[in-house]
Amino acid sequence: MDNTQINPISLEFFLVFVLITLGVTYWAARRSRSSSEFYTGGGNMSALGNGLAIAGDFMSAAALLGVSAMITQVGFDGMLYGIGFVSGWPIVLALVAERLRRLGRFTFADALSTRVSERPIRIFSALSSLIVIAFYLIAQMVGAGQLVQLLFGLNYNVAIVFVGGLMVCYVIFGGMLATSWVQIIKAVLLLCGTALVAGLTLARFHFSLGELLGTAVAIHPHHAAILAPSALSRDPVSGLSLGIALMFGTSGLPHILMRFFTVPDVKTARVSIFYACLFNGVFFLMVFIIGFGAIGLVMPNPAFHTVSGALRGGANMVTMHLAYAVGGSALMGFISAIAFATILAVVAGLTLSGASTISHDLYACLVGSKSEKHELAVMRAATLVIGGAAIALGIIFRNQNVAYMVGLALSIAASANFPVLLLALRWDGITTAGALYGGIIGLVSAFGLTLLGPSVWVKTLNHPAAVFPWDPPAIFTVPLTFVAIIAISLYTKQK
Amino acid sequence: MLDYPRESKQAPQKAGKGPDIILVSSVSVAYYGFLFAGILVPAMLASPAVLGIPWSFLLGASLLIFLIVSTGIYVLVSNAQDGHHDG
Repeated sequence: MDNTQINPISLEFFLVFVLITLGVTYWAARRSRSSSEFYTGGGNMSALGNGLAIAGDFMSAAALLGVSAMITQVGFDGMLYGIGFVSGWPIVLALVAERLRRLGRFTFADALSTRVSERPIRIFSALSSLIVIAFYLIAQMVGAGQLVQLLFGLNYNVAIVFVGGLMVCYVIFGGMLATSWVQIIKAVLLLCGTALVAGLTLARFHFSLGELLGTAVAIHPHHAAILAPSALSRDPVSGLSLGIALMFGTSGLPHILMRFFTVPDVKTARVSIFYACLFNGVFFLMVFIIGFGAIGLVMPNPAFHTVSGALRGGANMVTMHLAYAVGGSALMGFISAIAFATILAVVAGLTLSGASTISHDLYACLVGSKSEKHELAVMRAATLVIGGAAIALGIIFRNQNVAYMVGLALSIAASANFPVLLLALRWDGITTAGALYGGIIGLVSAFGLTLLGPSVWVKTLNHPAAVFPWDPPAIFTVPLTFVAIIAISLYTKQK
Repeated sequence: MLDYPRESKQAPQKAGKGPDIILVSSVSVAYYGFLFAGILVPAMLASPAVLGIPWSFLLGASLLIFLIVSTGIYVLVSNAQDGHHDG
């Protein structure tokens, strides 16, 4: 029962997904002519569609495979990630969404530049956005390469080029409309697939959550300790800091903020955030069942382990093994194809956001576009450049531990973008100097302290001890940025 | 290059600030309360609450449901206020 061999059902499901999404891209390409259609899909998406697309941005392969694997390994600590991701939606809804939607046009820099001087703030927000997108993209590309290699037996480099080529195709030809529909299709498939695995897993325990958790406690080497948040009590500062990064990072992610402009009005934007919160909440509840269910059904089964006792294909394959255990190779094939589709959809959204930053924020608004056609040409060129860079970085970082990169992206989003955006939208006293220098302080401190922290300094650069002991640094850098923006604004205003 | 705030006014907000404050404060209290419970009384969270389900799972799932429901109520209230202003 070696279920890490190439699964023909995975390939079939995946090819069907690729064909359907390429069809959607062709349809979207015929409807996307103006810059507005390319950046926002024409601004006519429904609340449900946009909610699914926004939720899809957070239901990544890392969330499905990584969080379930973390729950299987350490238990309850994995749940904190899911809860943290969902807690970001009420914050973005109450603090950012309405005013951003009323002030902005295509990107969040549009809203910022109505409050402070356009040139410096667009340069800062473009730089910050591109850094956040780059870290997110590298993590997704490396994950994609490893996953495709494992599931379909493709060579790593070929897999990376294949993923990069498809994402460039979606964005260049279909813009936001194609990218959103790819995200919607994937989100529906992912929710259905996750519900199927969670439901079949619960069925094995007579639909009793108590029995499922009781079995997990009996089997896991840490027994009842897996039901308590061990990492939080071991390192409370890092635990709370992670909570801050997850809760406020969402409000500073450029590819999420961009989606508020794809709907016709503020009311629809609000309802779409509610849908995103609902779908993400339900998704993570199912991931918890999958993670704890895998302890009961995968952990004790020697067929899923190598001779040395390690899980076949690595710890992140636990969801695939569980799918095989409860639904055979057909369900495993379906889930594998969904996992890959998930990565494709997320990287397409990131690429679109990065290309929009370059063509709209930097080129059209700062250099000055000759025409709309010219701006779209720049956007397509930027997509090609970002796609090429993503492929190159995916290959360069192949053997690196990139797990910290999503955390780093969220830390920078929470520490640099969120404070600048929040104060620009809600505080009359902000000045250009305050927004710019405060934002730079947030960006540099989040980046620098992550570099000196345990994830990079010890686990990636192999130093014996971290210079900065907490990871992520958001608990320090988010307040620091707020204080810096307010202090510099007050000082420059007085002057 | 660096100047004083531009003349443009703050973004208009039709919905009142009350729902914003209630949502952010209630979500923060619930979320960080949950994290502090994990720091201060982890053993209690691991103990069974009902039908063999531990407090940790029960509170975690309840928190997720609270986040969804509070977001839904906020949207209903804010959109109703918007409609009132539009009307």
